Amino acid sequence: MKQLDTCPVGTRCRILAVAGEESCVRRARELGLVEGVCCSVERKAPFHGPVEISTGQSRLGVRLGKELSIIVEVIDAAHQQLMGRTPHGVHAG
Amino acid sequence: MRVAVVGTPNVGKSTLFNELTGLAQRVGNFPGVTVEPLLGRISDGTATVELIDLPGIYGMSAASEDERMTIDVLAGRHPAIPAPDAILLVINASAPDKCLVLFSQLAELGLPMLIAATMVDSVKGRGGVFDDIALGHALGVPVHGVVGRKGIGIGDLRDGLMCAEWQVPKAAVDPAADISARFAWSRSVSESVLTEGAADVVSTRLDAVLLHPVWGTLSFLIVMGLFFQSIFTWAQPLMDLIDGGVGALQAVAEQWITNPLLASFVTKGIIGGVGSVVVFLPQILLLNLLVTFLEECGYLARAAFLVDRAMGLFGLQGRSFIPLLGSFACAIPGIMSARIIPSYRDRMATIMATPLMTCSARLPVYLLLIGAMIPATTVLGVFSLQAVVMAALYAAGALSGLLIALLLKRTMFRGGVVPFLIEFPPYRLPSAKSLGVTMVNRSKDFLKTAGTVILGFSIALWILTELPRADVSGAASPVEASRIQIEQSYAADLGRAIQPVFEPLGFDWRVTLGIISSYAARETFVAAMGQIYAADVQENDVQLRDVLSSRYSLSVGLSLLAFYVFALQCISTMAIMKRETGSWKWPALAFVITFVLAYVSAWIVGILSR
Repeated sequence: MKQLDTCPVGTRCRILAVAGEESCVRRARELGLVEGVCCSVERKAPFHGPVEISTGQSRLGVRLGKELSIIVEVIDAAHQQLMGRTPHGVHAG
Repeated sequence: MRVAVVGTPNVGKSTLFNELTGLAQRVGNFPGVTVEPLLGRISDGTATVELIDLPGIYGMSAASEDERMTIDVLAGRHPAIPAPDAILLVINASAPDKCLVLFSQLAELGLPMLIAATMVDSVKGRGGVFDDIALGHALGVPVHGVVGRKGIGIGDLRDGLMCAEWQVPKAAVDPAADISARFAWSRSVSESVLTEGAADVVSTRLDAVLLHPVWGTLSFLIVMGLFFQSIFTWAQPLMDLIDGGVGALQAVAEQWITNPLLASFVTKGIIGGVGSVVVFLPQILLLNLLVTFLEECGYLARAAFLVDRAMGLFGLQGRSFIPLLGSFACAIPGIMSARIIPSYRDRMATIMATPLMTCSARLPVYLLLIGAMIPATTVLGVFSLQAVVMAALYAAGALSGLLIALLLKRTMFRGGVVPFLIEFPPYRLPSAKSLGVTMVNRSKDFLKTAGTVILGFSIALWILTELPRADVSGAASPVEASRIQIEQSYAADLGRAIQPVFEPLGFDWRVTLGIISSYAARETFVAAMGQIYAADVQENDVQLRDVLSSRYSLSVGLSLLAFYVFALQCISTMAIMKRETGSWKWPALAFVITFVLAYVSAWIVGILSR
């Protein structure tokens, strides 16, 4: 369990909780960041800028802070292979 | 029949709207509405459908002014804009998840609906399949696949709109369902109608460069460099052409009109005054074209991502960059585009900073004064001193604007930095027709201003300078007569009355008059100086800048430049600020802050350069 923006680039994770100010949380959810969804950290802007994440069909630029925090669990790559499927939102290959 | 065009942001809604309605558009003029929606109509001779283009939304709860308007109109509780009879929902066929979540909420309104699915070509191009008929069955409303950019499917969609093939959709999910449940439903529908092809390789590869910490930043600087380069160089030939046309028109008018007073009124008051402003049309269009292009091709969202950290230093967020960039063309579209900033505090701080970005109306003043006062030498062997001064003026304006934003965020708009959340649309080539339609509409707006506000002011200025008619019978030459006329005019009285205010800056009554006239619009300074020194220009067959350079010292020139960097001298900008913030308090505050800044810096520059 960790904050999404502390994950290194390339990490695949599953969203456990979206918390913060009500309006920010609502917007994050409307953009597809809902609990249970898988996403990956694609890129980080220089000088501790926002992070780019991909989820499902969209790619988002997000800056997290005390108004919006996204708690995720890192998906174990070996576990995925064992289950024989890729999590939703991450394209195979 | 009134149809609201609705969709999530970045689905190509505006392109589709432009393709559908073409030039049959106007800005909706509803009383008390801060966000003006575009209205367009389509007609087949017997029936007419009025389309209203509403800002994009993700759901029925608003995060910004824009979204609030859309939601209020749809819910039928907007005080001025009547509720629509039906909804045209625009969805992105290549990424329908969020669009279908929005559909599930719109379906609860019980309005008849029609769906246009854009980007069907990009699904097909990547080897995927989008089944619009199956989607139509699943949702209970007709779905038309379109390619807005190429105009494919537009005819069918127009027929669909005209032939009233509207249906009220069946409820998608339980109205009490939360967003997770709605996404679950949307995914199940999306999986049954869309077979995704390969990933968007173009966007992935472009982003690998354009969002790269080093190459991305470098590309950003290059894009910005080209952006400014184009203002100065590419627009020049067209501007020269317009300038020549204005001159020719004045010559013709002088030949045909025999009454000297009337001839002066037509050539100086009307053609000269309006012409001096219309000459900036190519620049304004080019800038608007570039901003629209960058926005529609998907780059602006990335640029906002890249500069978010830097904007954070000034208490702003990445999105503030878009209005501020637009303000380099004109503060008016800049202030209007601040609506995309969801946080009220960030939006207000950004709006207060926009008038300090160097708009294209300052450019003629800078060009005139730099041409007149700064020697055309080179520094460090390569840079032209005039260009260096110009760049310094731009930098001073931008920096002061950002510092004012920071100051306001630390005081009046104190509050946490609101999280930055932006969606990256796939890269795509903007539709030429859509860009063209936007340009034509912008030119109409600009020419309307030139034809009304600026024409009115130009006439007023002519009256001030040419009346009352002085007795010039004792004058030795026409130039002498002209000088006597100006010095005995109402304008001279006005300039002399206000001149003591500007006395400490070393400005005489003529410059004071130029500054006062700039309060209608900055570029009027050039027209005013042109009228005041018209006689010298004609007599000595030189350009206005040569006259100014012989009349004023370098110190006055630099003080004037410093004054123009900061002063908020644009009635239209103040009117837009009032409209967008809902109160005269904000434009008044901006006016005072910028006047003090302008006056003090002009004074300091004057002392240092004397």
